[in-house]
Amino acid sequence: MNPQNPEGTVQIKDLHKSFSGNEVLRGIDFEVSRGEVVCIIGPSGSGKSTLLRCITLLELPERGRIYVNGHLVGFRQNKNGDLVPVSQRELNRARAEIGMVFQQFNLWPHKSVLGNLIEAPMLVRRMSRGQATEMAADLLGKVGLMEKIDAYPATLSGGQQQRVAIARALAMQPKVMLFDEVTSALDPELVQEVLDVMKQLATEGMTMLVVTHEMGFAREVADRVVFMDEGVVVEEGPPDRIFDEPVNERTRQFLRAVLR
Amino acid sequence: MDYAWRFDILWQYRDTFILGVIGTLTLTGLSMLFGLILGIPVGIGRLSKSRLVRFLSGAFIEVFRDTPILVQLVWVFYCLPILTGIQMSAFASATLAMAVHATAYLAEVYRAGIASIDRGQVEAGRVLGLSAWQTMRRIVLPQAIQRVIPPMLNVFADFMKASALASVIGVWELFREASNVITTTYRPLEVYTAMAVIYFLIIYPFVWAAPRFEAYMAQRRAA
Repeated sequence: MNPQNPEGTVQIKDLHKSFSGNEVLRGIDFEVSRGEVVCIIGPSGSGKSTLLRCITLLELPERGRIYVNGHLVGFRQNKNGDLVPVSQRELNRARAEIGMVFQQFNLWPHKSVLGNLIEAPMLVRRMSRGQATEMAADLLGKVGLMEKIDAYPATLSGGQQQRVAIARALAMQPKVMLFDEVTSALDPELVQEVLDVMKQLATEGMTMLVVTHEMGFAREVADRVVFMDEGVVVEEGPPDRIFDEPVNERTRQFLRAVLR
Repeated sequence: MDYAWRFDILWQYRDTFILGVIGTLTLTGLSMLFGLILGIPVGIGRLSKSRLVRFLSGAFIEVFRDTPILVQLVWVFYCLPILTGIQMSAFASATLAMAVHATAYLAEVYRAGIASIDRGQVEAGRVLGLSAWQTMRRIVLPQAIQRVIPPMLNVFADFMKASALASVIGVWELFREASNVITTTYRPLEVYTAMAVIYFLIIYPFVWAAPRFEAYMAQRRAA
């Protein structure tokens, strides 16, 4: 990692999170360098989604630190060196720097594709409508949906909706993109078109954290694969090593089950 | 029974009936307008993170939903002036009482509408950097309001019916105007029957529209 330019990097240190006494994350440590694609795999309930939700501050971690682009997110240090939560305003600003795509797309059904794309740039970045529209058109071209610019989400297939959702996240020009099982809600024949967009994004040097069940994608595109189970990182390494010579017994069991 | 119906007599009082309809529509329309606007903050307050705000809006809603509108009407008209020293006209008193009642009812409708919007809609806004308020205003409310239009139309119909109670404190709306015709014509059967028909004619369109609007919206969402 280049210490001079922390843009597009993520560091996670001793991250803990529990929901009503149930500890979902139990001390997560790892780093993602600029332009790296990290796929997070693991059984459901292992805390993968919670990890992404903590990074984008949908959940506030109760212990540990997360740095995105070199900045501590969600907290700041006060005079005594204690961590205190930042203001809502700062939280909003920090969230805008991190792109997130959801399993359920979560497009806004009352807005057209264009409306979905220009909403945040105009409200948060104070971009003019003309500027935002131009950028939206570029992004839609990139995900291959230029002709759908005036369509409403309900008229699109799941794969198209998810590509719009990716374009919507990109419209905020994030340096880091998080993908939370983005193909899990799709019909099998629509998975590839979404993965292709993600692959293209990876080749353009975007830093990506991808929670996925698509082992083929992880093997082909990931620079590194992280296996999580029961709230901890069990094993991580290059995809070939994780998939072909997993060291940990739990990793082996999981891969046996999913690669059958 | 062979009663000789004489509806023709009522024709000469048509202006009175029209005045009554205007009175009923104005009273209902004005109080609903207040309720539609003020119900939004109260409804949002019901879902607030702050326990105090939640309690206050909840208490407001329950107090005014769980007492008869007739009691509220006479209370505003007879008690409020004694307590505050401000004497309002019967019409203003009725509008105030019904507006408060409508606010409580519609706040509940808004609350249900807002709560029905998927959490993912909010999260999509928040991760893009929208503030809680921007997300509410631009993402949640427009969808919630669309969803609650059918129940709102039904509330409107209910309020039109309830507005007849305002005659008790002397508001010149349909019930009172028409009742007055009885004292000059001695034709209560014709007058009350005509009144029922007129109420039906002005209320039914809203009841008719509610499920149709709902079907239209469902169709548009799926299109």
